[in-house]
Amino acid sequence: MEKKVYKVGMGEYAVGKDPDEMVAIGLGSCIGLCIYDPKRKIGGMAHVMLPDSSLKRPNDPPAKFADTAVPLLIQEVVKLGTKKSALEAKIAGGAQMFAVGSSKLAIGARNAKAVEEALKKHNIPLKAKDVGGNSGRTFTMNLHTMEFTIKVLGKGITKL
Amino acid sequence: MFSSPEEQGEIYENLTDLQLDALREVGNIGTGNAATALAQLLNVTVNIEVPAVKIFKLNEVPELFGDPESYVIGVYMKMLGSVTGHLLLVFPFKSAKLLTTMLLGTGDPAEIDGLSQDEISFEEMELSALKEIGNILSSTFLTAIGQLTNLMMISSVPAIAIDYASAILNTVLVEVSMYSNYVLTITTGMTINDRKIEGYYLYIPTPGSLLKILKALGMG
Repeated sequence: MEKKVYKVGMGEYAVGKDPDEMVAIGLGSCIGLCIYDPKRKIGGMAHVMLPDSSLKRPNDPPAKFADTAVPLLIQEVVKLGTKKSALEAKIAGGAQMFAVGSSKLAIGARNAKAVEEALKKHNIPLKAKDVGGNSGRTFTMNLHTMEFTIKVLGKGITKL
Repeated sequence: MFSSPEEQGEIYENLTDLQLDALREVGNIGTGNAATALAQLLNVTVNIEVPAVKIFKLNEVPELFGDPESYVIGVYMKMLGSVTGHLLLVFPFKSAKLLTTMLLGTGDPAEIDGLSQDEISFEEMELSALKEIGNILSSTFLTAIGQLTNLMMISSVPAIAIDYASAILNTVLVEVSMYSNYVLTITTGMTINDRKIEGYYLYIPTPGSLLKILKALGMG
């Protein structure tokens, strides 16, 4: 099967299976959320921007918000041929890029917390996370090797 | 539930060419004044490109300056006062290094031309110089627009980040995304002493503030 590489932009999501790859480039305060079945090598990634869909306006995609992205991704990944109980999650992002007094820009921490809470609510075990700090991250999920990598400026690539 | 068109960002789709021209002129005056300030500070010749006024879907912006993983320095200020929004200055690594070298006299700009972004790093002093440049550029920019429109425009103290272009842009866009899926940007580049210094202004007024600016110009 031909490998597809999905670039998951803000508020977007993508699902696929072995040997596809998904990447969220330069996550700042956003969260890269991966929900996957490690045995069947099926999974999806969402690029979550905000914690709570109570801020939702018409035309807003559900993957934009933590609380709606999680059930959406579960549903779409299950559709590709697995069951909810086989799923796990890894997340990265939620940085505070600008250290300013205004707490509003601390949205990264709120995003991370909201995604973790939503995963708990839907009983998806969180296997690993790399959240917070002040650095942007590029987050990649390879559905062939089932490897997750994070790239940070000046620090190179690490496995998650 | 009541929701006005401006909340939905539809205001951007309804802007006329005349209004966009007016905004371009606003950008022109703002950046022109900022260029003069920078020229005086560095004692150099600064040429500013004619600003581009564009409306983007939020997810198109991270590639605005080319490679989303290119290394940049972002200087961010929140706009306060009667016109709210965001002001972001973006300097690619090499341009930021050239700027600080010229400002602080710490080396030969010609040597920096040959460096790749991986070979460039910044000292604390250079970062505070960039912050100061951001401060000067933004305050002269806002003062000029404020005088033109008779609106009070002030900005928060600048915050600085060194990171991938997309990580910096995304973080500002997340703020915007709370009220719109579109963004109006006024961007410009500059040349210093015939040396191309890429530096971009991203001036992002909230939709309500945009209407105020247009109204103040008699284009509302």
